[in-house]
Amino acid sequence: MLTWLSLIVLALFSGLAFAAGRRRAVTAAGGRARVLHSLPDYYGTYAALWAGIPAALLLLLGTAFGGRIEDAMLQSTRPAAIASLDKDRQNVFFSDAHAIAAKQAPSEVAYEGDLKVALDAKVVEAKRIEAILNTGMLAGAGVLALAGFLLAFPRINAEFRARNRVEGWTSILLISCSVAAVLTTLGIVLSLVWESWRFFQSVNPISFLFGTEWSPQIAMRADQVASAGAFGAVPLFAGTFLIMLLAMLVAAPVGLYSAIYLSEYASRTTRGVVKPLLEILAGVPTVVYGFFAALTVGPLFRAGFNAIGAALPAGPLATYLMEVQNQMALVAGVVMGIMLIPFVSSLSDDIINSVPQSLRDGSYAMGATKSETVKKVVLPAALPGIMAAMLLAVSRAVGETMIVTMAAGLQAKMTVNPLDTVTTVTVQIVTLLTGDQEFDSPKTLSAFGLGLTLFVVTLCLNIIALRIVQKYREQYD
Amino acid sequence: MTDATLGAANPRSAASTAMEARLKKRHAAERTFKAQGLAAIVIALIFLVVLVGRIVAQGYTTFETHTLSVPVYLNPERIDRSDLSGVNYDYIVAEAMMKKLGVQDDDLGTTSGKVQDLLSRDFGFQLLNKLKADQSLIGKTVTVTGPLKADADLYFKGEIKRVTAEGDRKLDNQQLDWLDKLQKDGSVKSGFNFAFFTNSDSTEPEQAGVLGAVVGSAMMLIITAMIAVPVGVMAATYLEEFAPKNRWTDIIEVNINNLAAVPSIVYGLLGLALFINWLHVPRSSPLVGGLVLALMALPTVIIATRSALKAVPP
Repeated sequence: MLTWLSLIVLALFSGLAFAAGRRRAVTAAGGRARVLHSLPDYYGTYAALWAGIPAALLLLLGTAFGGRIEDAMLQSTRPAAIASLDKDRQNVFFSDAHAIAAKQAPSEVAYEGDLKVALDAKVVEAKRIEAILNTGMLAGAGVLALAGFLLAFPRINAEFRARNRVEGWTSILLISCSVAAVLTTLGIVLSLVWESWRFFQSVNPISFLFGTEWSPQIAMRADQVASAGAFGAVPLFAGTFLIMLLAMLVAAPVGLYSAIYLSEYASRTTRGVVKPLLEILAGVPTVVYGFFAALTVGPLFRAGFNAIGAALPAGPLATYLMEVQNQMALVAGVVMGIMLIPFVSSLSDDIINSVPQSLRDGSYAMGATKSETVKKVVLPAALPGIMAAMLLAVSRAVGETMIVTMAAGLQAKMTVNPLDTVTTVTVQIVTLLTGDQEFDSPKTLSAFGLGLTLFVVTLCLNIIALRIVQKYREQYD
Repeated sequence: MTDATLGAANPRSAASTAMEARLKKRHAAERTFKAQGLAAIVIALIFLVVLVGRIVAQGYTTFETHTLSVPVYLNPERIDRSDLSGVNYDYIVAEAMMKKLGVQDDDLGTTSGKVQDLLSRDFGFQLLNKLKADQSLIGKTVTVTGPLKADADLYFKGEIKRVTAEGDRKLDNQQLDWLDKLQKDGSVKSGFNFAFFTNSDSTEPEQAGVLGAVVGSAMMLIITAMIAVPVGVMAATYLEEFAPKNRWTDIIEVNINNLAAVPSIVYGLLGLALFINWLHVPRSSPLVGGLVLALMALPTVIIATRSALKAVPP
């Protein structure tokens, strides 16, 4: 709130600087704008930028890191009363002090006696620190704004090359925007690696990547059964792979065939109607697909298999079919396949269309039918691109979250049976991280290990696919 | 050419018969292939129709709701003026309903319980608010209009059917008789479910609405748009119009293409580690969600803007 308010004040100050800078330039030119090096507005903008940008940066940085600095200062002195508490409780103590000082809801922990006294003292301290930080930030911003203005304003005269300076500022702004994308990647990699590294300190990376048992429950008491928790991710990879395979079995033929039909056979009108309809499928949010899978496809498939089981002569197979559950891998796979159809078909469509017409004409001239041309000329020419499209679809299927969260199960199993319930990497990340979690337990941190694996796998798939596409495009352009 | 004229002149030759057979086969293959393509499109469209149809068929009843009007006698014996919030308004409403239906409560309160199962708790809250505003209503009869409870609403919408065995449905025969009677005397009205748009989430289905969720989504969307659109457009402008063709811009370009395909859950992990765990931004605030979504939307905005800029003639 304070930041917003001060940013608005800063914007007003910048506006004043603009007016002042423009006025000074016009006055310096004696009212004849032709004498000036640049248009008068550039002088105003120059002054406004110097007055606004450095101070705004300070305000944004202060807001972003303020909470962190405040916590660090708060925790620099630890009251004697909390020395007996364990580390987690100490952290709760400090975050409560912070929350009360900031008028937010603290945790439900009750404090009594010495602790209560210590907490009250810390709350007062937190309020003081926050006041100091805020005052410091505002004062710093004010000084920067004034200094920037005072630096820029005297420079303005008729010969000053204001336009070039403003262009310089603009290109810095544009470059920093395009660097934002690189910073995002860096942020993803660093945060995943950092948290995974913390995870791998308590769990051996080899046993994580190759272990075959996944049960991330950390026991409340040390003597509880299965208190260690098992973090072998192979069953999750197997489940992800199974669902991905089922999805591709639906999406690849349907998507590819519809792309071929649309680009080679369909009339202009059919194409104009069907393409937007397929795009609707692509525009449906995945949570709706998940809903559809869990509430419509799941019960439908179960009823279907139960009916088949009832019709079969009694035996182990019939009994098995009678007992299948809603959360079978097949349901998630089929619905994910539906989601991927437009993705596969539009990518393949682009690639088939970029095969030069001369290749087709040559084939027709030899007397080949349309289907022969497609099978023997167009598809081989488009094959690398289609492979790339399939790889991108696979990467989408592996990273897809909502459908599997709603339609797949939670039980980690190594199976290739599509009627069994399996769980995937993404489902486990969601279940590990939803709700309030402590950040130090291997249970929570294992989500980052899974996330890192997922990121690396999808990144490899994407890079390979993009490479293939680039190489292929160069052949025909 | 000569072969062709020979073939035409000599239609019965062995070579030509073989060719015709081959041609037939090839044309059949052509038809099969075309049919396969058509089948693929039809399958995709069937999926679309089933998906949309199922959602509409299941969802449209949300927009209809059934309300009931009942005259309630505010019995002074049951209302403690000094503690208005502590009064059992649900029972007062149930009494009014029993009077309207012409039934008596037994000692165990079975009938009043069954009546209460038909009415939303909204009736009680309405009475409380009325009394808080105007205490002189005590001893008078006021007419209250409110939603039926979800199960009763579902009966009128045909989801709960009388043909189902009594033990298998949530309402018993007596309750269904009451509902029929209420509908016949005109106290139950069906109307558009405005509450769905003006209420937030609730544990009682008849009072649940989307307002809270919509406001949350809108706040997140505004933050996302405020960040992703300017930054994305400026980045695209730089890359398309200003940037020199060198290693550095190549890296940025590859990087953006890869970012666009990173699974959304990885962005979630980034947000958790960076904004919540490291920068201590409060959890579940629209700010965190908006920032993460902005990072996620950025590559898409950049790619779309670049192709738009490319389409401008030089």
